[in-house]
This record gives sequence, C-alpha cells and structure tokens, in this order.
Amino acid sequence: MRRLNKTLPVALAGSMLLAGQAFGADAINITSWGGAWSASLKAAWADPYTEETGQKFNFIDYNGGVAELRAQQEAGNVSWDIVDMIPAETTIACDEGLLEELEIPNPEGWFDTHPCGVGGVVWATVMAYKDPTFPEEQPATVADFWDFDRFPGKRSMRKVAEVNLEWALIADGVAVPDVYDVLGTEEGVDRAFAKLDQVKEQSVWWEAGAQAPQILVDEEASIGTAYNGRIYNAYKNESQPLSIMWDTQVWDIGYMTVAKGAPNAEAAKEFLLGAYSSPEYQGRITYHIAYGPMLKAAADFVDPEVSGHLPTDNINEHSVQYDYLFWADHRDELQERFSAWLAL
Amino acid sequence: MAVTAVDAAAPITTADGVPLKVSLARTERRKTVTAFLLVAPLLAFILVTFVFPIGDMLLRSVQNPVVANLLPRTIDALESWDPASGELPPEAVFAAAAEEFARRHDEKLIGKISGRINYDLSGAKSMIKKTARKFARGQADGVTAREAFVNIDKRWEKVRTWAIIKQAGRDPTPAYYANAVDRTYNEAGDVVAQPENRQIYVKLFVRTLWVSLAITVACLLLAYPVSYILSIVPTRISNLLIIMVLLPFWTSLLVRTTSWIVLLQSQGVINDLLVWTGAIDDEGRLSLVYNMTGTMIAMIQILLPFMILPLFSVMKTISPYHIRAAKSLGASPAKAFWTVYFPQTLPGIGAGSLLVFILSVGYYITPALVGGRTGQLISNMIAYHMQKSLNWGLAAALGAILLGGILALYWLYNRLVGIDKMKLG
Repeated sequence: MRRLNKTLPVALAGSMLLAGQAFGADAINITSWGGAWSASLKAAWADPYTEETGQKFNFIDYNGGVAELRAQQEAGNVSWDIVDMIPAETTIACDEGLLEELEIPNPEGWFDTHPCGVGGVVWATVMAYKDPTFPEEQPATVADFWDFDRFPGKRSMRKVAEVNLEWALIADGVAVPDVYDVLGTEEGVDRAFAKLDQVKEQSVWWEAGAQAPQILVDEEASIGTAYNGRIYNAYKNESQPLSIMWDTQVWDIGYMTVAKGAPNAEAAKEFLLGAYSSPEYQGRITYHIAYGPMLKAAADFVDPEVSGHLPTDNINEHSVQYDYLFWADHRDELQERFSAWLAL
Repeated sequence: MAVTAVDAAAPITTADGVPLKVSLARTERRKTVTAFLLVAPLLAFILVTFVFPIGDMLLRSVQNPVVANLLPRTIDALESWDPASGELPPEAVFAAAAEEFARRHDEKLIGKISGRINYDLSGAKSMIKKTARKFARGQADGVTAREAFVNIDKRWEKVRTWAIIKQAGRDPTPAYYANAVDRTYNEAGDVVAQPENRQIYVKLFVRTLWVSLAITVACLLLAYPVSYILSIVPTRISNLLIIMVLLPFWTSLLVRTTSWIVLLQSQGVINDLLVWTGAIDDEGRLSLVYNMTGTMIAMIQILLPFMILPLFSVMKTISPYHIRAAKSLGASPAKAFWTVYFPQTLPGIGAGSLLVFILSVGYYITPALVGGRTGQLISNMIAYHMQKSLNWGLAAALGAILLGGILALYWLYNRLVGIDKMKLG
C-alpha cells in the first residue's frame, strides 16, 4: 500500500524529469513563472550573484500551484530549491510542511513577512483600459467599472472568485478597510454576487495573465482587470496605449520560498537571506519589470524611469491589500460558488 | 526424431532419452519465457505509467488518513457522541482535542489537519491554527477545556463544527464522492444536497457529456466527406492532402488554441470579414469566442484528425467495385451508398468516434483559454483541485466518476456495436 501510494508522485516527478530539465550539480534550482518575469529575475538577481560569488542558478518554469512540490516530496525526490509563490499558496505549502521556515533578520523593514517566505515583489491586480476608447472622460474608480452608461463596452475579468468579489463589494459601497469583514459573512457574499450579476451579461473572462492586456488591445472589452506588470509591459515595450486605474489596485506579494528537503537548501537560504534581501538587489528588479520591491529601504535603488508606475508608488486609501489568510480560509467555498454562478 | 513403432507401454523418447512429453513442455516453457521477456518492458511501462497511477487515484478518492492519524484520541472520544442529539460533545472530547492540538502545533502538523477540515468547513483553517497556537503556548484560559475552546473562538460552540471533525476522522470515507456529486453532511451527519448556489459538479458532468457528444457528431459529419475524397483521389494527391490534415496535428496545441482566439474574437479576422462583406454591421459583431461556441469550434478543429485518420484507413480498403456492382444491379446512388458503402465504414466510424469522444471528455487547456464563462468543463474543476486547492481526494473522486462514466459508455458501445468491429487502421 505504501509503495502504491508513492506511484502517482513518482510518475509526476518522472514526467518532469523526462520533460528535459537539466539539473545542474550544485546550481540552485529556481522555479518561477517563466517568460518576462523569470528573465527579470535572472538579470536582476541571479546573474549579479553568480558574478559575485560563483554560485550558479538554473531556472525552471511552472504555472503556480502546490501540486508538483507535494508530488516531489511524497516521492522523496525534491529537485527544486527556491520556489517563487503567491502568498495564498505559500501559506498552503507552509501548512502542509512543504517549505523551510525562514528567519528574516529585520521583519519591520518589509511591507509584509511570512514565516516560510522572503518577500520578492509587490504586484497588483488593477483595472485598465485602452486610451482611445474613452477620449473625453476616463474611468478611475471601481464604481466606474460598473457604470455602463458613462463607460459602455464589455468588461473582462480573471476567471476566479478572488479580487473580483472584493471589487464588487467596494463598488456596492463597502468601505475599503471593511471589505474582508463583510465578505466573511453570508450576506456579504450574497451582496458581492448580486453586484457581479450586474456585469455578468457584459463579461469576458480570462485565465492566463497574458490574455488580459490582449483582450483590451483587441477591444474585446473596454475595461478589464489585469496584472499591473503585464499592462506596463504592453505600454512600454509594445507601445500599446493602455492606462492603469490605480485607485482600483488590489496589491499582493510574491514570495521566494525554500522547498523542504531541497538539494541545495543551505545555499538557497544564504542567497535569500543575504544578498537577495539587500536594498540594492531588491531595487534592481524594477529596472527589468514594473513590480515594486518588498523591502522599504530599496526605494532609493528603484529605476527612476519606472517610478510612479509601481504598485508601491500608488498605495493609498483606496488600495486593498489582498488578504491571503482570508482566502486560505474561504477559497474553496467561494470558488465553488463562483464556478456555479459562472456556469449558469 | 524418427519414431517408427509406437509401443503403448514404453513412453516415446527423444534422441537423448528424455521423454517426448517432458522435452516438449521444456521447449514450450522456454518459448513462453522468451515471449514474456519480450513484452516485459511494455508490461512494466504500462504498469508504472497507467495501472499504478490510476489505482493510486482510485485509492486516494476514498483514503482520508490525515485527521484519523493526527487526532486519534479526539476521534476515539467522538465515537460515542451522536451529533443528532443536538448537544455538544462531552468534556473528554475537548480535553483530548486540546492536548492533541497543542502537540500537533509543536510538531508543525496542525496545518495539515486544519487544511483537511477546511475542505468541509470554510474558515476552519485559521480557527484551528489559532486555537492550536493558544493551547501550545498555554494562553488558553478557562476552567474546563470546553470553556477554553469557546473563549478562543465561538464557533467551537457549534454542533456542526464537531460533526464535521467527526466526519473528517472517518478513514476510508465516502465524503469525497458525496462532494463530487454536490452532496454534503448536515449537523446530524446525514448526506444532504449542497446549497443550490454551490451545486456545480453534476451540472458540469452533464455539460461535459453533451459537449463531447456534440463534438463527436460534428467531427464525424465533417470528417466523413473529407476521408471519402482522400480515399478516392490518386495517391499523389491524397498524400498531399493527408499532410494538410496532419500539419495542424503536429502544431502545438497552445498555438492552435490562441490562433482560434485571433480568428474568432469580436475584432478578429472572421468578424472583420463579415463586416466588410456587409453580412453583419459593425454593432452586431458575433460573439464567437470566450463562450461555448468558441470551445466547440476550437475543439472540433483540434480533434478532427483523430476522426479523419481511422475513417480514411477503413475507406481506403473498400473496393470501388462494390458500389459499381450495386449500381449495375439497379440501386440508386443513395441506396448504393447507404446499403453497400456505409456499413463497410462502420468500423472506422466506431474507432474515430470513440477516440474523439474520450479525448474531448478529458480536455482542459482549450476550454480554459477560450471557454470564458459558459465553456467550462469538468476537467477544469479537476485541474483546479489538483493544482490550486490541493484537495486531491475530491479531484480523484471527480476523476473516478469520469472514468466510470466512460467505461459505462464503452460497455454500452460494445453491447450495441461490438468492439471487435472497431478498426484503428
């Protein structure tokens, strides 16, 4: 029975090996989201560190989720060292005992800390639009998203419950600090879904991050939600006339974690708690992608050109900090209800 | 080996004196072993990649070891308590839970317990972690354990909380299957329907079935004439056409799916063309993607080769003389086709339909990308529970139901058509 129990993880882990990952002997394996983001990690953090210390890195792409890490652990063959995770999944993996606990030397210097992660960047889910769509009056608030008279056209949203329900409540008049308290009640959830009902017939839903700016560029929707870095990237590198409505931002954190049983756990910890946690390293990422540093002291090292375009520059009384503890508690139930709502 | 006279008393022997029977058996055995060794790698491959994982999945859909193993005394103490009584469990339960919570907190195992109970009781994750932390640090106050629990969180005063913990302690458990068909446990521990606004899985199973059937029928209708033409044109041309069928087949699935978005979106090629020709006006652009229509179109195109290839290989073997003979005997073209040609293509139809149907039941990337609001299928929920919620028990139960459904349809197909009639090429 014990052996049989291990076969699924072994098959999963084996298929990943077959997929052609070359695991360097002593290189630290960083598992992250791939694309422009991993390239930024490499340029801002990995390459300079290799130059300074000779420590090599090896990048692996994944699509989020905790399944592969759990499969590796159950099979007793962990090959990842550093894993780049969103807080909700960091919490789940930490609870499941899949991650090393990390002792941060100066917790008060960071925007937020986690027992199993070192802060990477602050990123945000925002609403955005294509400039020519609204030449006279531009949408700016969450309520404008629901205002089809002033801002006609379809609305695009990510196909999940989180963040959308928060916005629905804010649009319905709930004060920003009370959002999660209200969402924790049965009536609050009903209220959020009733508000979402008002956009349902006019909605387009996206799944992959890259789809979000594309939907706006293609005018499939007139206002859409997206990750701020994706919008900035389309604006900066592809000259797309897209604007972010910063008053709508729900900001969240990316964490760097160390997998329990990782082959190079010590080297990974040394990197994360050392050079990586320095203001220079934290600030340097902004030269490569528009996500804000987690370390407050890194503000002095931020790319002046991108200044003003980062979530950390735009945190104000309208901003919501994504409450990953709330979502760790309620995601299953709310996502189930959301899927049912969506499918009807 | 020349045995000329057969003596009934003396056994027949080979040249070296071994009885013929023994010698034959020995040769046979050697052959069997060789044959087995030849297929052994394949057998091992199938066992490792197919039989074990599926067996493992089926086991996971009923296994439920976390709470039973980590809170054994609490679960034991809950054994004699009947949630239907409406009373809270006795003090012994609270005392055992307090002690076990504190211990599991120190062992850093409380997260596993709270995660498991949170599947059934939304909000339990933080409640249990908070409670365990307070007990471990000696910050829980109250004369009795029960009082201490309630002081930490009022929800410990609810019968439902304890009823769910009792349920979660059952191993093996039918709970994941109950969940997979939109059922849950009420306070008395009976299986009841989920609240209406959370019922989703049955709906998606039914939708998946219909979509897969529709895709299969559409593929058949599209592939039949194509395969027919492929089978009658000269080889030189048919080879070229076959490559055109196979070319998209060799292209990455993601590329094909995103190409469909480019073609079908409201500012996309097809809509632009329709507006330009004046078939529709600019205001009335069609919604062809991010809905069920988009899912169907993209999946039909992606799965079409799986229908064309078996049909083509069967049609290729049908002699053109059969139709000619039927016509010369007075049959109309329609009758000749229907009574002579069509029945001979049934093995190809069977093989193609089964392939397309089974593939479309499990598809999830295409519906995820182009499905939008109305194009979600059950496979998207399985992927969600594997990847995001980590509720592998529920994912396994959903998968097992899907597997059972397909096997039932396969059985039905075998009864109606006969699996021996199927031909893959």
